Amino acid sequence: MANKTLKNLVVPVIVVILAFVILALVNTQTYPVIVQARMQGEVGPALDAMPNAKGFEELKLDNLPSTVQTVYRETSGQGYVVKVSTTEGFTKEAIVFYVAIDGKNEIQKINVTSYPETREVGDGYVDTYIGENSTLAGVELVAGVTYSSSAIKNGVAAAFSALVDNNLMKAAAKEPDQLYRELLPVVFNTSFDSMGRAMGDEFTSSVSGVKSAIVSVSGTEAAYWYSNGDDNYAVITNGSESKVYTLEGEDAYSSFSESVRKEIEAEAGDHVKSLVEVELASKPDTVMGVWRDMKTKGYVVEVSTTKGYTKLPIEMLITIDSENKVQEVKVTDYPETREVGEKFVSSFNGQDSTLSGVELVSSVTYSSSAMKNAVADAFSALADNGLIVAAKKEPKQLFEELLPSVFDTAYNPAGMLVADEFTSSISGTVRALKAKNNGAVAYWYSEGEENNWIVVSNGEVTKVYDLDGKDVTASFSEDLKAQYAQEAKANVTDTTSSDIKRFKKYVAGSTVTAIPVPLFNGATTAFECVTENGTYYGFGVRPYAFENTPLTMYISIDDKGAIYTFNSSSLYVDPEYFTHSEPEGYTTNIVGVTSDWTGDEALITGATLTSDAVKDAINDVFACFEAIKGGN
Amino acid sequence: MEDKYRKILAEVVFFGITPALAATINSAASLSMAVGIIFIMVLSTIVMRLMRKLVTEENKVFVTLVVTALFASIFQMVTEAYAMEAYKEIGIYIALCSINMMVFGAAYGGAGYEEKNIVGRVVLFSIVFGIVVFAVGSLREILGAGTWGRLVLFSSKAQIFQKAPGAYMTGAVATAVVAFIVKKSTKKKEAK
Repeated sequence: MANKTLKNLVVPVIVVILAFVILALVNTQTYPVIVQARMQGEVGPALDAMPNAKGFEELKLDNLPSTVQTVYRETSGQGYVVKVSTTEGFTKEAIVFYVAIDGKNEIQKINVTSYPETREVGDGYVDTYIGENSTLAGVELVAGVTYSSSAIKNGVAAAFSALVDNNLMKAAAKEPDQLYRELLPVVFNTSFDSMGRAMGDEFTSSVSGVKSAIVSVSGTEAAYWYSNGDDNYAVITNGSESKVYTLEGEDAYSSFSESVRKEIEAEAGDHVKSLVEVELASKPDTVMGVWRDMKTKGYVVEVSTTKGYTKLPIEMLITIDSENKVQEVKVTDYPETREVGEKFVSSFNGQDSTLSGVELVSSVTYSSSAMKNAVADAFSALADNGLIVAAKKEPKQLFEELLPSVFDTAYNPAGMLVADEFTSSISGTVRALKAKNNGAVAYWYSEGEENNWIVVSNGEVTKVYDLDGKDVTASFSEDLKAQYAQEAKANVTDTTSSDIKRFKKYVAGSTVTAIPVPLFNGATTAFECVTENGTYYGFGVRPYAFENTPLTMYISIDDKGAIYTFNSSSLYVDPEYFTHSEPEGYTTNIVGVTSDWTGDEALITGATLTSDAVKDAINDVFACFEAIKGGN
Repeated sequence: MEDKYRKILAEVVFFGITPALAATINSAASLSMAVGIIFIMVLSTIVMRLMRKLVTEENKVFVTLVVTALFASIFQMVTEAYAMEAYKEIGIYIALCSINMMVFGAAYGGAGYEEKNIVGRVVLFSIVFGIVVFAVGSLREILGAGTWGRLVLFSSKAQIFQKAPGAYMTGAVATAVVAFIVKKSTKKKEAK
């Protein structure tokens, strides 16, 4: 029993102790070999890169580039081996290689252990790195395998960076041509080929000290490498302005020789393009194209307008300088029947976007107005696309520009003001205008530089607008409104009763009641004509025709918006002068048209102004009808 | 087939194959595994046979474990020092496998160290194990990689045999073959 107990306790203990001793003995023999074998397993590829290495010590370093995995120091001082793993290649899978850098800080060998790319870089490619220092000046990419070769090159550069950044070696100095080549992608706006070389037209510079010169692919700027013997610079110029950099990329404009810079700019001006077309997000219909002058920093705008007298295109080139003023207006096509005169064309010079100093030419108002509006459109195109800042308009100009939209009854179909000025008795009134068709009056009322309004009234209806075009009738002084209404009544001709008689006749069996004119367009009177069959709306319309003489038309419209009747006292200012007459069935063709009409029904051959007047009148009626239906 | 051989075959399959599957990815690894098993199991058995009078029934399993672990550790250290490639393949599996077989064998009572022929029996067991493992590894390599050692046999391959499911499939086939052989020989014996 005691014997068994002894065996159960002692034997296992002895066995364990013996096993421990035997294992310790085996370990002393095998451990050094295991360590060496493990080291061999890890640094085998490193050893392949540096075959004469005695051993490697793995360094624990900070600030390693992301592609650097491990840095080994060769224990006998032969240099370093850096393990690099990069996914910058074509397949984005890891390219792994070991870079051996010797004691002269040059590449001794590169051992690629993993290359998952789809194309080979070629057997001799990694050998091109042998002997290169940290500049890698002699290493080029492989055409057709640029992603992979670029990944390897960047990985090798990262290996050098790892050593330099951790003060294990000093970076080699790059030659100026390499620095210039590497700087260009940063400062020069051109395309670069797959090898990283700038693309464009190289040319031989006559400026002393220039090592190389190239014009960008777009032709808008040139890059120069200039050396004065001691220092090297990169000069980027468009022929009028330049930027100067040291080859390290620092701004050197102020320290660079002014005479040399001007010489370079002058030479570059002969090589770079001056005008570059600008793409616009939006533009008026009259603007055909916009070009930026790269030298002057101004713009050239091509316009074409058909709003002149003949309705044929008047074409112009407008040059706007860097101060956003007109430098020159060049008329390239002028099909009008009367000349506007050189004085009018040159009156644009020096004008900003307000064109406040440009007056229309009397008796050539259609043509000069069309040209002035086209120049205004040119400025609008530039301002709306953020290319220039529009000049601030004075209240006078704002008043004149807003007036057509709120006082349409005083404008002819060509958009020209047909009104007489008169003196208002109301204090604060700057200007007072009476439409020549006696339909309404308009006032410019001012309480100072910032407080200006337009008041439009026909004696019955009064509307007030601020100079931004906002309707402020409700908030305007009631007393002033009453004053203006009273004065307007004295200045307009009330044709209500005569127009009622007309509509009783034209809309048979109707009860005709006057209603407020909803808009201040060509319709000067408005009526509701109620019959057994329905309600019609009648409008006395007085548009302007030949020599801006108002015609009188009586147009009624049914409840569905179709013209019901069309009558006119006369369609011609001087019936004896015009030998033409309206086509047969002219008024019948107009009956039934709706607001989506083309206007062809109003055409009278040889009587353009009358045709425009009729068209204008009918469109005014449609607008009034919409205003009534809309509850205005 | 004699009883003892049938028993050995069954023990090989049910004690040995499953833990060995992880290391039977190719024929070379299987060969390393077989050599290791033979070394560990034979030496362990010899030592246990020599110590049979000192070991009681109560501490037999413990002592078997320590002795087997000793030889497994020695084998691992030596392999890691002098045959790193083989060590990478079989690594911890050699210890796992050998201890599994020795300890379960001891617990099961199959390894009776009183038996005179126990060493010979274990040698035979290890050789049979080596053959089975080598067969499984070869099959996995041929089907999963298309090669056998340095010979390239096929260009197309079923990579699943290089993974765990393939290991289990091959192991199951080996088990089925063994079971078939054992059953058939049992029937023959009964017929006699």
